[in-house]
Amino acid sequence: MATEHADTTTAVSRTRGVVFRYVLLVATLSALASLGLLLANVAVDAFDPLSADPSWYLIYLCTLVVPSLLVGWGLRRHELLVGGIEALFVPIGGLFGAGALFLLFEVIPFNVWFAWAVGIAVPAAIWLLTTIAGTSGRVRAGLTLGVGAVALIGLPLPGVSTTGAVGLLTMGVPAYIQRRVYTIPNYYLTYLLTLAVPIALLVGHQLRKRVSFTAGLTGTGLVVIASLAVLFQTVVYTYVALVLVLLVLVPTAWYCYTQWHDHPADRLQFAFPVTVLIGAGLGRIAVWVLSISGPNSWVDLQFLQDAPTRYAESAGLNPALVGSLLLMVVVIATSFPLGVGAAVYLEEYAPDNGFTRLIQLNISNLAGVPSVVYGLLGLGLFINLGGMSGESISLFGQTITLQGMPTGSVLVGGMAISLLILPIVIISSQEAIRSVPESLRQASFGMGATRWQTVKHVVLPRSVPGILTGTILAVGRAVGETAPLIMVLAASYSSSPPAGLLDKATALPLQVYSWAFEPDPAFRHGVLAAGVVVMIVVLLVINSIAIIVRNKYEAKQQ
Amino acid sequence: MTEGHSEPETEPNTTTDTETMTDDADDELKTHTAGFESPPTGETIIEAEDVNVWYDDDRALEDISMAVPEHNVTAIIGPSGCGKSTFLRCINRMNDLIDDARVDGTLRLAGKDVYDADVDPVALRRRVGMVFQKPNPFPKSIYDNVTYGLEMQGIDGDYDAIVEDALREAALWDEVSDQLHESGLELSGGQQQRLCIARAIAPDPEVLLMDEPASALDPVATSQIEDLIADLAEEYTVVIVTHNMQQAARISDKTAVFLTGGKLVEFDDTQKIFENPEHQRVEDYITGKFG
Repeated sequence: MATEHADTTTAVSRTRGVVFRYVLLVATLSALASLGLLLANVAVDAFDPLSADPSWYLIYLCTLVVPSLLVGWGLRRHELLVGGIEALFVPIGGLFGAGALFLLFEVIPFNVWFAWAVGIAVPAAIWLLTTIAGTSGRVRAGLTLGVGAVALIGLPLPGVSTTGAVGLLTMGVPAYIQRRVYTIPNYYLTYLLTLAVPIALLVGHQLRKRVSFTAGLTGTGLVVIASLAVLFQTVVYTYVALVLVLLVLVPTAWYCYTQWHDHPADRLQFAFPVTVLIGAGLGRIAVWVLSISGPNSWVDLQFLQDAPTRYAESAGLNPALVGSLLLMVVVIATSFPLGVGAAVYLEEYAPDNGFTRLIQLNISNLAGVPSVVYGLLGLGLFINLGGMSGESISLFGQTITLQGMPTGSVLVGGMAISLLILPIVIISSQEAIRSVPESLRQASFGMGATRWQTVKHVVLPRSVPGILTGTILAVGRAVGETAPLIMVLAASYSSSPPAGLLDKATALPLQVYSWAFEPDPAFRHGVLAAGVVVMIVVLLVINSIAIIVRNKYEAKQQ
Repeated sequence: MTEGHSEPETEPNTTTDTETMTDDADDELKTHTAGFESPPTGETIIEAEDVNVWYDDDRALEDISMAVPEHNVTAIIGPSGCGKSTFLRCINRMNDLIDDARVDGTLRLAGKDVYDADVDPVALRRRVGMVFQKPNPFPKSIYDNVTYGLEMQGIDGDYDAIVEDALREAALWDEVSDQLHESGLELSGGQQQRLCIARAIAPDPEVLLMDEPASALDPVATSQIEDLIADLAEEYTVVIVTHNMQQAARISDKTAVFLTGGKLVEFDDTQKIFENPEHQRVEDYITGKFG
């Protein structure tokens, strides 16, 4: 500058900055707009909103939308809206839980569930009794583990009778019940024993801690009465009603009770969920009384319950939904321990040398390998055993014919997807572990803790939210993967859900893909879009779980 | 690697301290050390002989030899980067956690060389407690913070009583006795540091190492910690690193002056160091001519 003190009133040019800012804005908006258009297109195809009577929209606008908006806007000004929306999420979460439970029984035979529930009740009771008696931690753990092992697995005494009390002791409770007890209680009784009793006790215990013993007793009594009351209704099956009461009604009531009790100043927040519920109810009644038809949506209960058929109207994706959920179970069970284990080793134990850096570099690169390659790897590794499948080898004088895993099974598909997300799990877990402040490790070592103690008591507790968030998001990605499943020859069409981990299964993205080539346009538009909506909802649920887990743990850390 | 350790020698308030020193160093020191009685002579508990530390090829400590007496407060003072924290971390072998740190020489704790092959650094750290520059309580409850060392070291006993004793000794009990099961992170900075002291003394170590325990605290919290250190010396041997010379003068019985290059220039009774140091450089440093 020529002048020493420039005239301070002359504006400095910001043209380029302003242009840059608006270019960024346009980029953001166009990305959002294209995504929004795509989703809107899918939603229109899936829900077919134009098929509804216009008065259907009018009724819901008057009873549900307008009152909710008004109440919501009023509460928002007093910052009471968020709590109310949270309250709505509890029953929705409960409904998802109930759905997952019913899906679980598509896979686990009912008598197996009952037998194991009774078996697990034995160590649980021991633990409860020793806690009440005030036994020391080690004795309690020893007793629970010891009795639990005998109760669940039994004592391996060969050649002893398998009947009566001796049989019970040698086989363990679950095996004994499955083999010797021929009358299995019906669905309702099983849920009552395995779900209602623990929930009633839990509610009672919490209430006793918060208020008093009498209150605890009342709470337990109320849950029991509600569980028995479902016997006197005829709208749905009693066991369905029971599960809804236990997983939807009880948690909602508990949430409302605690909020009402703990935040007396915020009681007005219930106005929003109450408005929504009453509005939805009124709208439903009005539509029913006036017999107005709503939109002819492709996404409905039948779509979730039925198997795919040749007719678009009756098509469903139940086998694919069950397949995807089972795949997720396998993915979590294999990638979580391996990934977190590798991350802990690399961050806490591995020396900082060239070899470690080489591994680190390779993990980062593996995260970017195309998914079809992982499918090939899964095919080559698990099914063909690297070309060894079908060959005979001689081991300790025995000839063994190597046999790869069955093609396209849930297990192989899940393991192939695990390979795919393993690098992501490792990297995100490493990030989480690295974010633990060094000063905490120093503090722990300074207290004379070993490295293992430091990892267990300081590093892992502190990094769990990050590890879980990363893992759950990776699993969310896995749900949408198609290529590895195609490579391990998973079925793209299946008329029944897999009954076990070695069954051939299909998955949501494969099912959606196969619908895209049906000649009937109703498939290519309606059914396909409905499948996409279900997949997006599954993804959103998984991501919400990640967010909830993170928030919960972060709140706990402070 | 996670053990990558940043030398905590870049204290944010170095300038503040030296500035106060240059202003009224002489007067202050005289008043604080006036009437200073000859320190009690204890048995030697820590004895260093020609201790050298290298980080890679950088020599952080050069031939340090000194003997720390039992049940005394020994202060280590010196300008930033002179290796005083490094020396402290040799005593409980925290330097082992740094990959490229190398120690030679002899450093005896109660007669046993802590760098002998048969010494387990974990076992050593159970005898030598440590308090760090920045308060670093675990994200656990106050109670669990204090019992951490007991649980890790497998010490049995009446935890409730031990927790109360440790918190009382750390002058924190009255402030937190009704919130023992709330998070230690909710305390103020000074309270957190006293919690860290309580955590360090709960397993009853022989020696307590303090690495500038008050440098991140405000003056009120600092004076509380200083009062506390004087009391702690009755039960433990305290070795404290500080760059606040007034603090060293106020609380210590013996003072070691490290100067740049990792050399121990003078080690003597605190009174002697502050009133009549042998070396001109020590006098210059103490009177604030440099450092």
